[in-house]
Amino acid sequence: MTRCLDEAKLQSYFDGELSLDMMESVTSHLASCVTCVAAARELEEESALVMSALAAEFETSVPTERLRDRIDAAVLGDRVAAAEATRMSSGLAAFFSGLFNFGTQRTLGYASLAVVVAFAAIFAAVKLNSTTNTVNNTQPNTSVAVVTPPAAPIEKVATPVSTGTTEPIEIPAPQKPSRIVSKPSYQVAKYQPSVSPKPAPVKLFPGERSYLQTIAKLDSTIKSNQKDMRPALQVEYQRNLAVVDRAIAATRSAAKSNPNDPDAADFMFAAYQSKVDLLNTIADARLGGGRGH
Amino acid sequence: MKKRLFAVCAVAGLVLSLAVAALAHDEKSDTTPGEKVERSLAVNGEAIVTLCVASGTLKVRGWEKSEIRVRSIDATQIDFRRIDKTKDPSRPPSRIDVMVLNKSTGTNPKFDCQAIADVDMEVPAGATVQVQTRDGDIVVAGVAGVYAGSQNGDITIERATKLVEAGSVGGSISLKDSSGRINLSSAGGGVDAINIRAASDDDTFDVGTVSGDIQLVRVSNPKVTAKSVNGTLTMSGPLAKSGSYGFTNMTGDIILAMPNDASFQLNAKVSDKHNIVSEFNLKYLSNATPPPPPAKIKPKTPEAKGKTPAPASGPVIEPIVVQKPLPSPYVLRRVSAVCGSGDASISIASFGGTVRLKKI
Repeated sequence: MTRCLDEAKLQSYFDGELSLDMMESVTSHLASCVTCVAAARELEEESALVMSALAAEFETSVPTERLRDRIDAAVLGDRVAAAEATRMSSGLAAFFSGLFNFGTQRTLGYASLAVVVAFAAIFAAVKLNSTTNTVNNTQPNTSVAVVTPPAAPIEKVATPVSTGTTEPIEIPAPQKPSRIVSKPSYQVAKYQPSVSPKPAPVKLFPGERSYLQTIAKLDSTIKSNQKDMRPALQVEYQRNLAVVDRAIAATRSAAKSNPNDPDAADFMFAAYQSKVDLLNTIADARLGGGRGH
Repeated sequence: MKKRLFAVCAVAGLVLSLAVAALAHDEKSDTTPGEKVERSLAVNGEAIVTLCVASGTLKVRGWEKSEIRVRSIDATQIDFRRIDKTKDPSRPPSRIDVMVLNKSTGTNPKFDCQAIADVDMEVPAGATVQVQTRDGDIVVAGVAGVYAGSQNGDITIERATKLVEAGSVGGSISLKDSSGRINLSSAGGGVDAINIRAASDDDTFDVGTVSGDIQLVRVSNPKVTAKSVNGTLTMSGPLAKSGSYGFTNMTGDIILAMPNDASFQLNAKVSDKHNIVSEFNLKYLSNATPPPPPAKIKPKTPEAKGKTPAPASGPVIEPIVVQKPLPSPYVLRRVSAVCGSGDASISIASFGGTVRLKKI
């Protein structure tokens, strides 16, 4: 997306009315376009002004014509249903009143019937469970299935070289849970082991893991209440996050190509630290900061 | 005679009422016809004062009185909350929260920091203020200490004497004519600092941005650290004697403009794909790896015409332009050099930017 965003699209972005793809597209565009960031800020300020000015009106609920029609229809439906119920109740009332007129013998009868039904339900549940397991084992592609990630393999830590050089740690990338959706098939399929290629292992540098963990924690903290983040802050966050992520990618690539150069790794860690600082700043700003005491 | 006595009594009464009003000035509340809310309170000369709103411009000015005065047109109520540990009523408060309330917050103190209001405040010159707004600008002048935070507003601070800590996500930060320990950070906004000095020997100067530019002019703190990811980093002015300067940048340029007689030791880590351009006579240290032979740019001066310059004794190069090598995998280059007697220490780490050392 190279052209600047129009106001309608920006407004839809702020209102959360865009599709996921469009949201991502707009966010990435805002990350690189200063003009659109300025326009977004202006629009957001205008929205805030309007919202504050019309706050009192928004609080007063005024039913629309369509809503009124729906209410009228519902009321009318209730009346018709009530009339039908009144008509039927005269016939059924005698039957149900007799049914629920519990005597001692009838109570015992109901109790034994309930016990039989409960046993039948338990038996059916056990049977159904075993059937489902069989189907899952023999027919892995016949229904919606969530593939859980395999247990993370143990990290292989390379022995640090005595010269103080930076040796990468090799660990496989964790497999993300993926949802597999396929059309239901009624043929019994033979079990076939998964033939998907194993992901290439990701090499982590010593110390990189702790940065990643810290970043993941901060990221989840920010995402936990991302709805509370105001659009202007969100735009600024995404723009600077993209800058930092590019720096991390570049410095990481350099550190990878120069594994024996500690200075190359230092640049990478500096980039990681910048991301940690940014996330901390955003987390604090999102919470409002308060008075700090 | 009776009339004269009545007049004397009236004047005495007037004087007495004026005296009572002056005494009551210690804490008062005014609402002017223009709906401006104003409150004032006598405080300790070195009080710590906090003020925060959700949105609005905050202006704080130091004055010579031991008193806080707060004014706002948008606020419906301004209160002071004394938070000293020892709430001795005989002494003026030393820690005060300024509570600004308006229509959006009602009068419920639970909605602290949620008001939308522009606020002007005067505090004692020796006070430390902590001011925070989400969407407005902050202007502070003439106080001892400043803690300022804004999400998207600009922050301007002048004549702070002891410490400054300011942070913004999208706004710019400007600091002028101040002294003490300084810490400035902005994610997307630029940071300017002009005429800054240390108040004590251990006063450091730290500044950092993600994508904003950093410009430092005449910063004489003994230890200066500046970091940016994508912004241009510029410092100009004399170096502090025995000062320590650290500049880290990922993709932006680093420009240092110093006087002709600047004396420093340079330790630089730079990409070999970017240039180091120096207008200073740099003497490379023996244990450092010098850059590839530079292409000398000889200044076209009348004196140079027809003359062969005398060969320099030792590896002294002026000016130095390290040409970009052929495209190759990323390689870091380390440059260690001395200019003059090497009083100050400059460390530069530039991952992908050009480093320029200029004379002013």
